[in-house]
Amino acid sequence: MRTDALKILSVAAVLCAGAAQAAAQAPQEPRRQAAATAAPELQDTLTAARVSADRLRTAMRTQTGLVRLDSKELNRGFAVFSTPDLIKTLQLLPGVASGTELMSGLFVHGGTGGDNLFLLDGSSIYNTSHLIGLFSAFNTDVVDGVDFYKSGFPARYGGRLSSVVDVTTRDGDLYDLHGTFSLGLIDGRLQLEGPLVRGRTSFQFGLRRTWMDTVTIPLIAYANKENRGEDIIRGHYAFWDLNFGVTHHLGSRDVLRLRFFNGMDRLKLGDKQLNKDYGESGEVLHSGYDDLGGVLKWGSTTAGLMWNHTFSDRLASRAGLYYSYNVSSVRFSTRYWDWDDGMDYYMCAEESDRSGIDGIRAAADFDWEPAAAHHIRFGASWEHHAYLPDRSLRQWEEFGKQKKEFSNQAVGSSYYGEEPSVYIEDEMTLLPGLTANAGVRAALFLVKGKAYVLPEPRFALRYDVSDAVALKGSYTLMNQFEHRLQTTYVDLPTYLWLPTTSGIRPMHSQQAAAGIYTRLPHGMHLDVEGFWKSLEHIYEYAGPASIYPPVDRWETAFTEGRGRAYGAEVAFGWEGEKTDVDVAYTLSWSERFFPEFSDRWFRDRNDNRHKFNITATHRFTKRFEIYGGWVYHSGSRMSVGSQGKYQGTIEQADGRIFHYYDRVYTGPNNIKLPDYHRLDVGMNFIKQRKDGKIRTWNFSVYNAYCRLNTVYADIQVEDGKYVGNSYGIVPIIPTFSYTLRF
Amino acid sequence: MRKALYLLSIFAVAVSCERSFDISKQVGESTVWMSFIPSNDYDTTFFILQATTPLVGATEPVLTRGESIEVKVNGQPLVLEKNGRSIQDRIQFYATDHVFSPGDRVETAVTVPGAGSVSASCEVPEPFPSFSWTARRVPRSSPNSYLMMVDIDYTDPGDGGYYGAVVMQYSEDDSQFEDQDPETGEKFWGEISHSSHTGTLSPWPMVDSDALSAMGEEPITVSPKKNNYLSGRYPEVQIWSDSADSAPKDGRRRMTFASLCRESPAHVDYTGGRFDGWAEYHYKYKLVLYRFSESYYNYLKARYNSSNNEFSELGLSPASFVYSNVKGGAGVCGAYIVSESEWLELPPVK
Repeated sequence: MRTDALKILSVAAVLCAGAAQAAAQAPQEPRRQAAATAAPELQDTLTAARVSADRLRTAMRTQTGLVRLDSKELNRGFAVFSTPDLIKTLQLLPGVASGTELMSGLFVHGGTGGDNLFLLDGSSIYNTSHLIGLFSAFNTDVVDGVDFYKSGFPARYGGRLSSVVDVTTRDGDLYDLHGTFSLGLIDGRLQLEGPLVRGRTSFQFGLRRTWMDTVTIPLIAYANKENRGEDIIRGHYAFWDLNFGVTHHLGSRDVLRLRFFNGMDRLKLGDKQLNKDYGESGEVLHSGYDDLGGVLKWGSTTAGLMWNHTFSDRLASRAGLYYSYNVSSVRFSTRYWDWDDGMDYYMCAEESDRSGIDGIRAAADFDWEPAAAHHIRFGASWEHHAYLPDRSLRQWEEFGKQKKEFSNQAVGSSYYGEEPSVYIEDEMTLLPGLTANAGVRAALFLVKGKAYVLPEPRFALRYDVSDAVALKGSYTLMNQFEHRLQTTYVDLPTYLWLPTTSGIRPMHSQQAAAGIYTRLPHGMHLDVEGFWKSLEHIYEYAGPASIYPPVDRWETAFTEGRGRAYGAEVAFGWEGEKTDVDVAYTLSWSERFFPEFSDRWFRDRNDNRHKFNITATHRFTKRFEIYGGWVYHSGSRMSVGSQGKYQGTIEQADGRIFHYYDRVYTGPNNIKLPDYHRLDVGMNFIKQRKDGKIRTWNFSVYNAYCRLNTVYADIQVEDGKYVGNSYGIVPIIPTFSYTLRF
Repeated sequence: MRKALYLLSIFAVAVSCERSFDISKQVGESTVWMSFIPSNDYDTTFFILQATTPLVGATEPVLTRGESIEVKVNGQPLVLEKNGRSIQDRIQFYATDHVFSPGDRVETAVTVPGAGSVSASCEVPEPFPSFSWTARRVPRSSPNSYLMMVDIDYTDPGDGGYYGAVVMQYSEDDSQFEDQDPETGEKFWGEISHSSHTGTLSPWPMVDSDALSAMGEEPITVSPKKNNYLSGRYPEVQIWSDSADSAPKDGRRRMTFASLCRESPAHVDYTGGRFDGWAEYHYKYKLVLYRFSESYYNYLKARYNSSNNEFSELGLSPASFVYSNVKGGAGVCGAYIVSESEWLELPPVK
């Protein structure tokens, strides 16, 4: 079975898997618009799993834990299934655990995964992944840059405990029309940008969509034809995301930006089986069918209108109105058909679960430099949230023209929360070489007649020992009023976002971080950072198996606990003329305390003690480059009943004696799974055509030595003995893609 | 809906590549599993003890021999009597007739050679707070079948309580019928009387609690969990907890739960059938209420979840089925106090 499974998976991987490639993007032409980042121009185009943030600029910031990625760096990022991926890139950073392989988990400094603030052009986005987490919802073709904070959060951010992922999309080119077209094994991408009014108004358009359904639909139709209607399979999956933006320069002091995003996944599955009873002579006595179907749908839509105004060289502002709509739904139906007394008889059931969360936010932010030693940011925002979970169950039967409904139950509730906030922060020079960023955020949340008012002090300090060495430290306090409640760890749209109520408290964290950041000769850098973090009022599901959280009793179905995490991170990088190397190591601990699970602290599921990445790229010529990356982390943890409580003894058929046991769990997450490691390699063939267009062929291999990294493990009885088994799912995945820039 | 995820899980397992995993270094040595549940439910309280056996590569069960047990109640030693053992000392049983009272602090320490030393403690809770209760029948589609909706109004002490409830049914029936002597053919009137505790009512499955709202009934304010693992005399106790944070200002709480109930009409007339006759049925109900220590509540809930959470076993959901308050080992030291209401008679079913 193992060999067969491997073969099937390998074939499936070759047929279906997308390229383990990175964006294969050619060097960009000089950009004329003002929005271009100040990141150093890096000329390589390699598809590397490499996170070389804008280190110089990051190091000059007072905050700890900040990583900045620009468009080029993201599009070099290696990704499975042919699409450069923002979250997969962030997963490689020290201090970030990725959870289950291939999924879009982001567990930052011991975080819960539902405590990351994703902002897309200022709008909150809740559904951040496609295809069960294989892709994130951010199309890197249109992304201008990402500010990723793991600690040292400035006061202007709030509402989440563990990280901020602030994504901004590019302004379109004000003078020329150009774009990118890319085709991978699973999806295709098209990006266009250019002027609407030359020099004043530009647009940016990005579309990404799977195209596999164009192959799977005819294949399924053919298979159903071969089955002669006795077993009809239905299957259709597609995801897409669309980004659109317009930027208009009203004058030298005013810029208007309009941004729109829509990303959606839709999965339909079904199986209709014909059942026949035959008589003694082979005649059909009776026939009927069972029909099982399901539809899963999830996605987000955001829109934002922003007005940037420059009052003077010292004062600027941004006012914005943001809208966010997020939905996930699951619908299953069963239909049993029979034929009786010359009439059709149907027995039907439909179950539907849906979670919706809408938000409208108005915000105004000001950037003021009253003196050389002070850079003050202040602002206010008001966000209205609507949380709309519902569940329905309907059962009925039809006999001829008669229809009898057994039940038609619907449980729906709505919660409305108001989240006003104000903040002020001052980046100040205290002494030559000594700067501080001190700020405070007043976080408020109003829900169902209850008001939470929680001040959040933020403080960061930087001391420049020399031009090449800086010491930093930070302390932050964060609160989160929204909870992502899920009953499983699978990256399916089966979670609810629900607010703090009188029974569910706001999550709360405190984090301190400190480090030394050095710029070494020959393009090298070495950063060492340590952190300590506590989490309060975090929630885990504590109930029987359920795909969807119980809508009607969610406040009692989740249990409250605490968490703590601490560790140290080391990042080393070298940027040579033709070769770049990045090395990152994390030593960390992540623990949980849930009285309902244990009266002791226990290790978190993502308590990966060691994490080590090394990535290297080398440009042989302008037309050929290669990449290699090795990822290692200590195994994740899970609960396994590893001890036995004696129950009895039986004599087996072959006469052997077998003692059987009741499983005893010595604690939650008591078993460490085997260590995770894999090697990814890739190469780009780049050609600039005579018409100026640049095409890139990328060939990549994910998990090059085909290590089946463990997803879960258990103890089973095999041949009369208890043995431990581990199970891996992801084999070697070779992929390729074609990209054309014009 | 579960089926779909089961199918997905089975698919994931089917296509997953299995390999042997040397788990033996992690499972550790044998440890001590113990269970000690003081209550006012029985005259005798048992202490059950055994050394666990590391499963991977297990050949013979680890034996529990040479054990020492120390139990203190409110700091005073409590002597346990040996009450038996399984074959070859695989499990050890002890017992005490000590009468436990609310507020008693129970501490245990156990050493089993080869399995280590463990300790656990618990406090016997106060009885269920003062309460009143009402019950009503909601007809179902099946004849003589009802949902027994039970409302309990009680005063929340505000300290975060852990509770349980179960409804007992008592029935009496008297019937008279006209029969015929098979030998003489003479007709006569016979009479049968019967009375019994028909047992505890089965909790209505949680998944259908939604249905109650749809039926126009008041929604369940707290969703209890049925539980078959209580070491008390009644099965299928429904358990719930009150958070100290959410205690109402006036201290009054209301808990509603549903149980399945069968009742025949108070008077059934068989006239016109094969035999003429009639029967009288009479029912009454009693509410049995529990208050648990936190540790025992968590243990009961975990046992319930463990029998209903396949996803956790695959590492796909939180390990809510794992609970123990035995330091250094496994099992539970928990306590509960049981109280009973007066009998309640409902208006007769017509």
